[in-house]
Amino acid sequence: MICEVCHEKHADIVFKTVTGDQVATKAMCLACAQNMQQDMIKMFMALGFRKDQMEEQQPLEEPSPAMPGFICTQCGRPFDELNEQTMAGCAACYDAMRGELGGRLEASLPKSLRPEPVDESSAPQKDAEEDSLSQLRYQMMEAVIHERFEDAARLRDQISARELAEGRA
Amino acid sequence: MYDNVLLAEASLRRNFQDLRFCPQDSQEDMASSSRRSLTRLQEHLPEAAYLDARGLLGQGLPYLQELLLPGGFRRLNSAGFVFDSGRNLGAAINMDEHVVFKASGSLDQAEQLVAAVRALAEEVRDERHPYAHDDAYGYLSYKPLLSGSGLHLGAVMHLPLLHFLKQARPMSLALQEKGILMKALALADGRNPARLFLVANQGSYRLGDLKIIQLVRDAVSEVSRKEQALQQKAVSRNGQTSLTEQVWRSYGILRYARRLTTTDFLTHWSNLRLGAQADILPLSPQTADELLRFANDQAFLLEGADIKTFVFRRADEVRRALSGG
Repeated sequence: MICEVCHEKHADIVFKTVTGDQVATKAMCLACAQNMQQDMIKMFMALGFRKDQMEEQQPLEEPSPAMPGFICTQCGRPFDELNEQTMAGCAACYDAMRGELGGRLEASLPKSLRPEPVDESSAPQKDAEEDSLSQLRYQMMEAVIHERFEDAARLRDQISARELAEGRA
Repeated sequence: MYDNVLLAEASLRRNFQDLRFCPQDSQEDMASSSRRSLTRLQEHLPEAAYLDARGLLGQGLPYLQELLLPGGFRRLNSAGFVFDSGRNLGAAINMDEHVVFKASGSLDQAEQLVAAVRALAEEVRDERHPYAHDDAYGYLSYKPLLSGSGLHLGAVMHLPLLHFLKQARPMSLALQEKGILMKALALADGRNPARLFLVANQGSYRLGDLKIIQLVRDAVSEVSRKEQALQQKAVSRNGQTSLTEQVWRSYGILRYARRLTTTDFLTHWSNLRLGAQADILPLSPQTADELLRFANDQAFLLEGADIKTFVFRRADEVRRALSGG
């Protein structure tokens, strides 16, 4: 079937429009269908719809089933990532985690016992920011305990502002 | 020295190299693990009783030690607890790990508790069934981030004002940076009417025993100081505060109540403990702590009390204890 709009390419899509009891069909190629979609979006926007509302309605792609990061060859336990919730099924699971686990264990050490970071780019700065934020929280708690509520409120506002700036709120 | 600490527990986690870990819940492996641990433990702790996980609560395990067991332990396969009440020494079998050796006492005796738990683990070790160990990570746990020496020192703390003023969460975040876990010891419904918290080391990777003891003691002192400061503020205002009234009201309820549910009992117990510690009530904190033995529903049910009547029996027992017998 040939596209009814450009009369050149093969028609891939058939649109069916129902108006009352009248049904009209139109076959078109992909390029013409996309053009028509843009025209329709403009038309709907002119009617007061927002573009993001229309895009929300578009069908999402079917998610493909996620494969685990690795599977233990001995007990068959699958793992996606290594975090506090990860559970090992047997001693052999550790062989597969070997690359990542050392670093995670180092990171779980108390701050005073952690080795110095090698990378001096952005990571230390972020750590310092985190430090000062937890310091502020701690100072706020101190202020509450000692009933310095004005100081506590000031610190609370500072924490909120920092969190907002970092997009946490 | 540590007035807010009700109990300290040193524990040592171990898994067998050749068996699947507990999350796999393999019937054969769990049964095998239980058999191996039990045989050796009963040889070395002849006075100890074996308490099956399903009926554990009524069989003599103190309430605070039961609080330190993993949630839902009664549903675990081949799980149990070997407990020598005379020496406060025991081991949990197939609860999270194949075997977790435990010694409990006061935080002042932390070094002795650690020594006792290490000695027990050494005595029970069987050359034929080595524990899972890796040169890089130490003893392997079912949770990879818990690998290391496997030693954990925990203190059960009563922190009513930190809880009431919602300061427990910020405190817990501050302690995380120091490698310390602070978590509420909540009931099955998620509430914490007794306002009890566990303060323990998060991990044991590359941490020596003495370092762990020092970390936990420092953390407990810090938390205690905050709690004490809050208590002093709350109690010292004009002598008669709502807190004082609340403490006396709870004392009256525990002394004269006809029925006490677990939540009611723990809520009023917490106020009573606070009153005892802040010298509001003519009670010692130890007397208040001893009342916790009445917290278990299961204990009353296994004694033969009907489910409708054990709340009355608990109230009877508490009344009797508070009126001096």
